[in-house]
Formats: sequence, structure tokens, C-alpha cells
Amino acid sequence: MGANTDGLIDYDKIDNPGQYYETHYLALRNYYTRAQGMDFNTAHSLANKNLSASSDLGGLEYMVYSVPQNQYLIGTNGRLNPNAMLGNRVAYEGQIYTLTPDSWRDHGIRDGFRQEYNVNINGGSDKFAFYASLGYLDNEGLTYNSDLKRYTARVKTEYQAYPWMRVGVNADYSHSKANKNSNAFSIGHDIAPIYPLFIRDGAGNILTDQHGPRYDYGDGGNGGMHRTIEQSANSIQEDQLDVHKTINNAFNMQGFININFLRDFRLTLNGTVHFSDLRMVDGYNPYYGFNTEANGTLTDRRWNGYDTNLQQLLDWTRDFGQHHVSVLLGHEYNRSKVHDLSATKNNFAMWDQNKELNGAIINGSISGYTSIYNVEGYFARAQYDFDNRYFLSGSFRRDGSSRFHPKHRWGNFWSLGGAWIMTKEEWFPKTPAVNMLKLKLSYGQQGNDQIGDFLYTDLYTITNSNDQIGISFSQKGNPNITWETVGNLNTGIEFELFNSRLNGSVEYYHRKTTDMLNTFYVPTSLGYGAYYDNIGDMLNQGVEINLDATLLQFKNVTWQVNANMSFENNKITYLPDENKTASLDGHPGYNYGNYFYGEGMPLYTWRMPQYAGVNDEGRAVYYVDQTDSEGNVTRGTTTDASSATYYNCGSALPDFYGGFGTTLRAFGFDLTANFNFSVGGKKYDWGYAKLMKNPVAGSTGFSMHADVLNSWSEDNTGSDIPRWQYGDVAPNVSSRFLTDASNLTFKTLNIGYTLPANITRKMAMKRLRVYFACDNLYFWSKRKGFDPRSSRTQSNAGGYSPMRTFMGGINVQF
Amino acid sequence: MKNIYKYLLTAALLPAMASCLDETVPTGGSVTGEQVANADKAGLANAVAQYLNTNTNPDEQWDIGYPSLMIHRDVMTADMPVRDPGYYYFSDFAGCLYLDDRQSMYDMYNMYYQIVLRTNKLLGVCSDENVADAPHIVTGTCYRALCYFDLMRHWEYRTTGFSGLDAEAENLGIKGLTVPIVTENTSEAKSFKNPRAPFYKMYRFILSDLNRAERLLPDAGEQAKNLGSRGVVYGLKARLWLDIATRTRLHPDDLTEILAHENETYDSPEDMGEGYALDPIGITSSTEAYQNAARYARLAINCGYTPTTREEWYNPKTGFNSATSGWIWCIMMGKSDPMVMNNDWKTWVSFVTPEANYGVSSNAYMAAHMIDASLYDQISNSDWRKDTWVNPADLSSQDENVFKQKYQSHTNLTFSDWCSLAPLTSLKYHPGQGERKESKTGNQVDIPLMRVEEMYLIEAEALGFAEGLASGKQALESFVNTYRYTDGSYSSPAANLDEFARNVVLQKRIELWGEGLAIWDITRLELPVVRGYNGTNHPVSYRFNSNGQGTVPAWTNIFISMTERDQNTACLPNPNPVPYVQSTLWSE
Repeated sequence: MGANTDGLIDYDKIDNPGQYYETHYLALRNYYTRAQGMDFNTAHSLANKNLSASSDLGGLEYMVYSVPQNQYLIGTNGRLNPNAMLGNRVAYEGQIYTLTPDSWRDHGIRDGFRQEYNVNINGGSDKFAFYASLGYLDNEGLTYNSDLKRYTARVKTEYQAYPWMRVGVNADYSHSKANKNSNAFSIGHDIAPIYPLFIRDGAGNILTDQHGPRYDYGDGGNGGMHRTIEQSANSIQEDQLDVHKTINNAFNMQGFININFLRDFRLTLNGTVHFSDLRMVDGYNPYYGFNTEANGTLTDRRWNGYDTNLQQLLDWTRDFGQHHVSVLLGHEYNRSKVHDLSATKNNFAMWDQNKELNGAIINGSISGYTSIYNVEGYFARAQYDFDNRYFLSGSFRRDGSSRFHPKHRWGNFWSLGGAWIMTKEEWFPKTPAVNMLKLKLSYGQQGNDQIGDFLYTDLYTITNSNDQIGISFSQKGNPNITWETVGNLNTGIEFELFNSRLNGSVEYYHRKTTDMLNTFYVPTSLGYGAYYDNIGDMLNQGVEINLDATLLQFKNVTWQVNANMSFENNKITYLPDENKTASLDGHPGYNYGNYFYGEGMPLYTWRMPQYAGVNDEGRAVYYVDQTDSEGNVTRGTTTDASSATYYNCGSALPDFYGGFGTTLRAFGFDLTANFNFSVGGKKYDWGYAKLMKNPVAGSTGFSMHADVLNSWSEDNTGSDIPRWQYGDVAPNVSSRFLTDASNLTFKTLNIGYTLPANITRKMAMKRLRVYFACDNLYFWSKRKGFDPRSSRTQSNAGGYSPMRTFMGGINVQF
Repeated sequence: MKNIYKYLLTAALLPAMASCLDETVPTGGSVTGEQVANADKAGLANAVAQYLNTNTNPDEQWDIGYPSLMIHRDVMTADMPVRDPGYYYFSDFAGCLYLDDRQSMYDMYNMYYQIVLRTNKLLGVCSDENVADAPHIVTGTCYRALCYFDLMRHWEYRTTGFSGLDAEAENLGIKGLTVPIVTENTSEAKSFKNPRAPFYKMYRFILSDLNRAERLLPDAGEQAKNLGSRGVVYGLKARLWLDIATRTRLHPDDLTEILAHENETYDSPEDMGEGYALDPIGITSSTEAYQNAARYARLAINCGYTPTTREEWYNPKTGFNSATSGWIWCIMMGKSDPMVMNNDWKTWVSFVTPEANYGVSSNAYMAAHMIDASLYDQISNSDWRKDTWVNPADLSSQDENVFKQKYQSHTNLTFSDWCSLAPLTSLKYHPGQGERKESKTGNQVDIPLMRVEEMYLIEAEALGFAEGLASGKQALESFVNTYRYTDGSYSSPAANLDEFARNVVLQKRIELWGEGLAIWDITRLELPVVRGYNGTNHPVSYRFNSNGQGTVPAWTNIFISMTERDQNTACLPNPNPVPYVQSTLWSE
């Protein structure tokens, strides 16, 4: 049982409404003095006047302070009028309203409760083994109407029917229901601290209606005020009234038969059936917000997946003295079928009581389709070992996938490996310092076909053209695509030293991906934008180190420390000539949105305008390559990002990463702590970029970062933050927001106590442990609020909270 | 004995191991290229027409397909200000802040090439020798000509009057360059090095498509108004010839360039491809082009279309939402059209009429379009079209009798709705069947692409320049007095041809208001665009003025998105107009 709490470490935003108005005023006044050439006093008056004007005129639309008559909200010193009071009473259509700000995030986020119970029983003998378990999970998320309830049940049994035949069956079932409303995260990040969440009367009391407090939709309902940010919407109330739920039934059944014959042979037949039934309901309430005309809209969608997997394995194993040989032949067949059906209706009679399609009267769109995916494989494997000291194995596999065109459907993959346990050699010195030393070397290939279905052919959709049948092109196919092959050469040492007090491994790997499956872009004028191709080869090589040390080992106290680290180097090693349509820094390759796929460059190489700081007017400038008449290239700067040169701005991939942790056991208590870290790589900090925008016509009222107070100005010419001025539009992307993605996470902390065995025996239990655990305690990154961990290339958009989960529980074993 | 059982059991299980890979074929929703080649070509032709009514980017708030480009084009002029920018999604060419490498510029460019892709797929499976293919070829070539004619006029850089911006364009070397030409023959490899076609080549390409359609007209027969037909082919040619005529008259150097390249056929394998020789333009003077324009306009009229009557114009259930006999080409929707089924407020009806409660132009959201005040003042009181827009004096009277007399018969609004409108609001368009509440009925409408009235006005202007002022005036006055004035009192005051052209364009701006066509005449004749003036009804931050006669507004030379230039390295950029435009915001 436990609680999920808000783990957000937020950016340094301007949280104080008074300071927010001061900052917006400054942007306006700077625009009037610098861009419009007004004198200070005229600019000051106009900036004050336009603070509450419409967004189109640069205003924030709401004024939540009241000031004495004939006084301005912001003084000529740029500070809030000391006589200003929070709470502004306005009259509208015969009623008085009080406008005062609320924290949207605080009202939209809660602590969630978590409970989990598991019980299992197992037992048996050589002839018969049995296992069964039941589980229940009830987990609440941080936003309202985000939760998960899940029941699981499993039975597993094996029976030695005859000395030569063993059978087994494994069945499990899970039923879950989840609600996924989560609009509060993004509005909590995006909205300025000046906007009221609720509608209040003249005395400042929150008005109510049949759904609870009345929320401000910015559509005139609150004192006639209109708001451009979160226009005609209220994410906080939408989380409460809208429905986004998924109900999932998943059923797995697996059976096997093992038959031994002729002393050394064994035949295994495996069969698995998996059935998934998902129901997804998405509905928008009829009561408030944009488009109440539709009177409630609901989409009900049913997705069924039915998977079959059949495997036949024939194994021959024999020992010849110290030689142990084993050969395996096999065949596998896998078939997945998906059926998807969905319907939408609107105009609901009683939304609160009935959110089924029959509760609405107007038919909307209907869709349905079926899709199939097949994979078949044949494989063979041989293993040999001598005296448990030398090991050798090899395998070959041939797979076919329905995702590729019949001519390119099949791929061949092989592997070879060996290991040598040095410490087993007679000549190896028997010393307690080295307990086990194993050298290994292997090379193996694996095929990857994890792309969408039917990408090998052009696709058309069937469409209604004025009630005539239209056949409209929808996707460009590539008949040549085939398996992506990953070939991994791996060599390393595993060791146990000092009486197994220090264990670990060091591995070097050379992982080459050939025929990498990825998107290849074409010019917009071709019409189809992009398609899947085997675009080239890529190499990942690196070193992985794992260490595990037991620092203290006594009867009642043990202390163990572990660490792992990976150094990785990634490079695209080859691109075919037809994919070399551009170049960057002398590397040929092709442009891929904000990235460049270049021969000899790492994946996720950023390609974008490069920020060059500010010019002497405080405007953002970007580097541009200028070629003179003789062909000499010099690097200049320009204020126009759309004519800037696009440069190589580094890669998003880290230099090294890993984790470390420790476990301490003392007198029945145990404590475990784990950390993860990553060093290097540059990711795009969208959360920060959003907070550093300047207000422009039609785009005001969003949250601002405190760094804007340190922008370039005539008194602060050393800053490289562009001038804080209304009307300056930022480009879509630039290297200004590429940030070092190094981070450190305190991932888990687990503290427990196991009751002494003599006490538990008296309670007829084998073991009882009480524990307390915490996940996702904290993380550190290069900018407070920047969370680069959930994406390979960028931060989240801001506001999304990782959950900090606290749990306490009991393990009992009978 | 026991062993035998083991072997038998094993043998019995062997069949369970058999399996083979199914030939998986997509079923439902999608069909493969091979399946299509066997399918009815009419399906491919219908898809072209349908695509104009489909959004290309579902996340783009203005994207309702080709009609969104029509609205953007009217916003580029001064003729169609919005009442309140709060819920307005067409501010790109009004506020002129996001005209550089932004999503909207990409979406517009991409939309045209998506339509072109579908016409190419259609034309790729049709052949002139096969009589059954003729109607489909006409459809395909007409839509392709429409797209490339639009593309060239939007993306070719023309003089703006900002010396800095014009100098940047000069340095980029883009004078006279339009857009890359992509046909069914264009290979993927070629598209990566596909330069922007010079204007004379583009004219010839469009003309070749229309010539081909014209040749096949006898076999093509009549088709529905959303496909290709005689009137469409003649109408497109009339528009094209008028453009060529005006350009060669105003810029004689361009005529010289045309003539210098008339002998090139462009059918080499690296260019248009074998068998794709482009027809010559075939004129030696701008007068000949004007003659062609007048001739084709008259051919279109003679197909039998009749101009919209006063009753049709003002019918509150069917006015401008149902094709009449005056409509040559339009977008048509059935009851189950995806645009109707899947959208409430993101539709044409929502954007153009305040009568739809489910739309953003209603009084609740106020994104309704008005006519520009100075344009309205130029409409004579004898012109029965004038009541299309709400008269400011009528509105300020708030008098129910005035509403009943002048407006009630041609609008679905109630008196109290009418009272809350802004002055000069347009009542031209109506929801389907006049339906104000139920979006699935109201959003099902026809949208005009070409009407015969435009042909009359093209003919008038062309006759003026081809045969003389008197001839032009006679044609113009005949049309206006016969079809639009209550008392036959119209006479053109023009003293010379330039003024006469402006008279014709004034009639076009009134007649075709809100149909996305005014910008073409304005940029073709390099007329000024003035949104900022005393008494203007444009929103404050949209009040930009062009640099006067002889220039085009800088915001009409559209930026070429990096998504094209990142891949197609031969495509040169257009300069960014934003800093120049922003520096000229008008204030009182």
C-alpha cells in the first residue's frame, strides 16, 4: 500500500501574479519605446492601459488587481503599485464578480493512493508440480480520473505422465480498467499565474452549479472576461467530466509436451494462444467549453488481438566421457490477427448517467479493419562443452515475415560463441583471490522486423466523394524493404575474486546493424513525404562494466555495493548512394527533420540554426555562412533565422551512462538504494523554450521563466538572453535550447525488516518481512525542471510529473 | 511394446507442426497498389475531387482542404476583415508574423502537392488512345492545372516595393522562378534535384495539360460539377490567358523571354520525359493573349450556364451552398462525407457564416468575416447585391422593421441575432438547408470553385484590351445592367484602359467576394492593398498596406518551407518578408 505523489521538479517560473504583471508591462513598454519610438511617459501609460487589453493588442485580458482610481497598476519604476490589492471586482450583465488568481496546478494534481496484494501457492513432487497465484492492484495517478485497477490470476501445472512424457499447462488471465485523464499537467505548466480558475461572486465566494464549483472557461462567463490561452476550455474540469477509459481483458494459455525417446532425443511441442480484448472509450462532456452545440461526443472502440504461436523442437544430447554435445532443431510459427472497430455518436440525453452509444442520437463516423501479421522461422543450434571448462556453440536461423514483400521476405541469421572457464584449468593457481575467471567470445545475429504492416506496398484508402467511391493514395510503399540484421560481436571476462567478495564482468561489444529500417524523407513536392527503407548500416560499440562488491560480510551484517557503467560510441557507417541527398560538415547523408543522418556521424545528430547570442540591439542572432564572389566562405550572423545556415549542433546520444547502488543488511534490517545516471548528449529543452518566448499579438498569458528578467537591456548588455520585448517572434527551433542532458536519478530506496525465524515459526510462517519503499525520489539535471530522461532527444513539454511513489507492505511466506 | 507407442504418438503429432506463411493482404480500409491498377479509374478520379475537401494536416486548425486556401487568399487582400481575432484561425496573412519557415507555409505547399500526387496517379494509368479514359484525363488535367496555376501565382517572387526585400530576392537569383514541376514521370531521384520552373515553362506546362483536355472533350462527355467538363477547361484557359496577357502587357521583357524559349520542348529524359513535349504558348503579343482570353470566356459562357438570379443569390436555404446552373465547378459533399461526419466547427460553414451555432463565426465566438468598409462604400445602391452585407446604418437603428424589410427574407438569423452582428458582416453564405443547430446537416454544402459570372467579367476586361475601351465597356455594362442592377444605371467611368481594368476588378471583388479569387486580379494588375485608413474596420494588428500601384503586397510572396529545400537542393528559397511587413503597420 502506498501513495503516489507529485515528483515534479519545476522550472523557475515567475509564480507571483504581481511580478508577472510587472514583467509583461516591461515587454510592452520596451516595444513602445524601442520599436515605436515613443517617449518614456507615453510608453509607460500605454503599457499600463494595454495590460488588460485583448491579446490581439498585446494584453493579458484579465486584471486581477484593483488599484485606487486614477492610479496605474505598474509605476514608472516598473514595480507593482504598493496600493494594489489582489482581487478585482467587476460588474457584468447586472452581477458583480471578483477576479482573483488561483494555482491551476494545485487544483488539478492530487496524491494518489496505491494498493497491491499478491498471494501465491506452489508445491508438488517429481511427478506433479502446481503453482497458482492471484493479484490485485489499485493505483491512482496524480491527476483526477487517472487510475488503474487490475485483477490477475494464474495457474501453472506440470505432470510427468509417463517416464518418457511430461506435459504442462499454463494459463493466466488479467482484467484491468484504467482511466487516463491528464490535461492538468500541461495547463499547469503553460498558464500564467494571474488567471482565476473559479468564478467568484462580489464577496469572493466561489459560485457553484450542479457539477460543483463553477470553473472559468475564459469565454465571458467570469465577469465577461475572455482569455486567449486555454480558450473556451478548462483542463481541470475536463479531467473531472470527460472520460478516457480503457478496459482490457487479456488471456494467455500455453501448453507443452516433452517426449523423450531413443535415450538421447527429446521432442518438445509448445503452443501458445493469447487473446486481448480492449475497449477504449473517449468522451467529451456536453456541459462546458468549446462546442457544447454537439451536446456530448463519445467514441467507443473495440480492439481485439488474437495471437497463436506454435513451436516444435527436437533436441539430441549425449555425453561422451568429458564431452557434452547437444543439437537442437526447431520450427516456429507465429500468427497475429487484429480486429479494430470504432463508432462515434453525439448529442447525449443524460451524460452523467449514460455514456453508451445508445444514449446519443446523432450518428457520427464508423470505422473498422482487420490486419494480420505472420512470422515463421526454422532454426538449428549445436552446443559442445568439454569438462565444463571449454564451451562452444553455434546456431543458424531462417525467418520470414509478412511485413516484407514476398521477394524479400526471408532473412538468414547465424551465431557462434565460445567460453573458457580459466579457473577450472589444472595449471591455474588455486588462490582465494581468484575464484572464477571466465573468458567469453561470441558473435550472433538477430533479425528485426518491428515496423508497421504492409509498408512494402503502396496503399490507397476508400473514400466517399460526393457519395461516389473514391480511391485515394495514402501511403508510399517500398517493395525492397527486408529484415534489419543486428550482428553483435561480444567478448568479455566474468570474474569472482577474493572469495567471491568482488564479482563482475567487463564486456566489449561491437554491434553492427545492417539494413537499418528507418524513415527516408523525400521533397514535399513528391507528395508522399517519406517512406520506410533499409537506409544503411549503423555501428554501436562500447564497453560495459559491472561490479559487485561485498564490503562487509559477517553473520549478522553484510554490506554490498554495486555499480555498472556503459561507454558507447554510435555511428552510421554506411548509406547507399541514393540516400545521400545532402551533406553536413562534409559527411554525406540525408536530412531528417531537425536531425541529419550522415555517414560517419552518430544517430540523432542535430541540424538546425545555431544561436550566436545577441547583437548590439539585444536581438537574437544566428550564424550564417556567407560566400563572396570569389567563393570564400566567412561566418557572419543574421537576425533572420529562416535565412541562417543549418549547422551540426552535436548529438543527442550520451557519452556514458549507468547506475550504482548499495544494499546493507544488519540484524534483520535491510536497506537498498539505487541510482541511475547519464553523462553527455544534448537534448532539446522544450519546457524551457516555451517559458522563454516573448509575448506577441494573439499569444499572451502563458507562463514565463524567471530568466527573462535577466534579458539583454541597455543596463544589462552582457546578457546573451534576447531582449525582453513584445512582438519579437522566436524561430521554431535553434541551438539556443539544446542542453547538456547529463542527469542523476535517485531511483529507489527500500527499507525492510525480516522477523527472526524462531518467531515466525511460532506463527506457522516460514518468513515475514515488513518493508517501506520509495521510487523516483529525486533527480538532478543541468537545468532545474529539465527532465531529459523519458525521450532519446528531448525534454518533455513541461509540467508532466514523474510520480514519486511511497509504499509500505508485508511479505508473508507459508 | 511401450516404445511403439512412443513412436506412434510422435507420428501423430507431426501434422500439428505444419504451417505456412499466409499471403497476408490488407482487408478493410486500405488496398494495395496492385489491387488499384485493376480497379475502376473513376475511383481514382473521384479521389482527386474528394481530396480537395479533405484536410492534409489534422492538427492544423484552419485546414479544411482547398477551401482553406480560398479563405487565406481573401485574407491576403483588404476585402475580408474578421470581426474579432479571438477564435480566428486565418491570421497568418492578416497579422503577418508567421510567414517564414512555419507550419502554415508548409501545410499550404504540401496540400497542393498532395492534390497533384493524386492527379498524377490518375493520369499515370490513363492513356489518350483509350476512349473510356477521356473523362478521367479531363478531370486529372483540370485539377492539376488548377494546382500548378495557383502554385505559380503564390510562390513566384514579384516586386514588393521594399528595396531591401527586392534586393534580397535579386541576390537569391529567383526572378521569374515558380515551383518544381512534378508529374507522373518524375522519378524520386529527379525530385531531389528538381529546380523551380521558370514562368514561361510553367505557363506552357499548364497550357499543355489544358490543350490535352480540350482535345479529349468530345469523347469525355458531361460529368458532375466536381469533376472535369467543358466549362471547366474553357474557364481555366480563360483565366490562364488573362494572366499571360496582363503579364506580357505590363512587363514586355517577360514576353521577350517567352518568345526566346518557344522552341524548347523540354522533353529530354532528365526533364519532362519522353513524349511529354510542352506545347508552345503561341502568341507574339499581349493583344493575342487577350483575344484568347475573351474567346475562351465566351466558350465557357456558351456551354449554357446562366448567371445567378437574385432569387438564387438571396435564398436563405440554398444561396451559395448549392450549385445552381451558373456554377461551372465546385466541391460537392454527400451525407456521409468524412468532412461532415467528423467535424463540427472545423468546416467551411463554420468559417464563413454567422448562422451556424456550431461554428466559430457565430455571435458567441465572433470570427465572422465582414466586407471592407471602403469596398462597401463603392457599391452603388442600385446594385441589388449590396444587401449581402449588413448596412451599418440599418444595424445601428436596431429596428425590427428594417430587419424584416431588408434582411429577414435572406437570412436564417433571428432579429436578436442580427442585432448583435458587427456592421458589414457578410450574410452571403448559409449552412446546408439553412440548418443552424445540427452540424451534420448544416456542414453538408457545395463550395464554388468557378462561376460563369467570372467568365463575363474576364471577357469584358479582355475585350477592352483586345478591341478597345468601347468594346470592353459595352461588355461590362451589359453584364452589370442585365444581371446585377435594378435600374440599368451602371456605366463605367473609366477614361483609359487602366482605369477600366480597375472597374472590372471592382465588379469581380463584389461578385466573387469570399470565393478566394480577388487576390489573383489584384496581384495580376499590381493594384494596391490598403487595410489601414481612417474609418477602417480591420483589427488593429492586421492593418498593413502594400506599397502601392505597381507592387504586390510582400506577404503574398510565400516562403518555401525547409522540408522541400532540405531534400530538393536545387530549389532556391524565397526571402522572408516578415521584418519588412511588420515595419509598416498603420496606426491612426
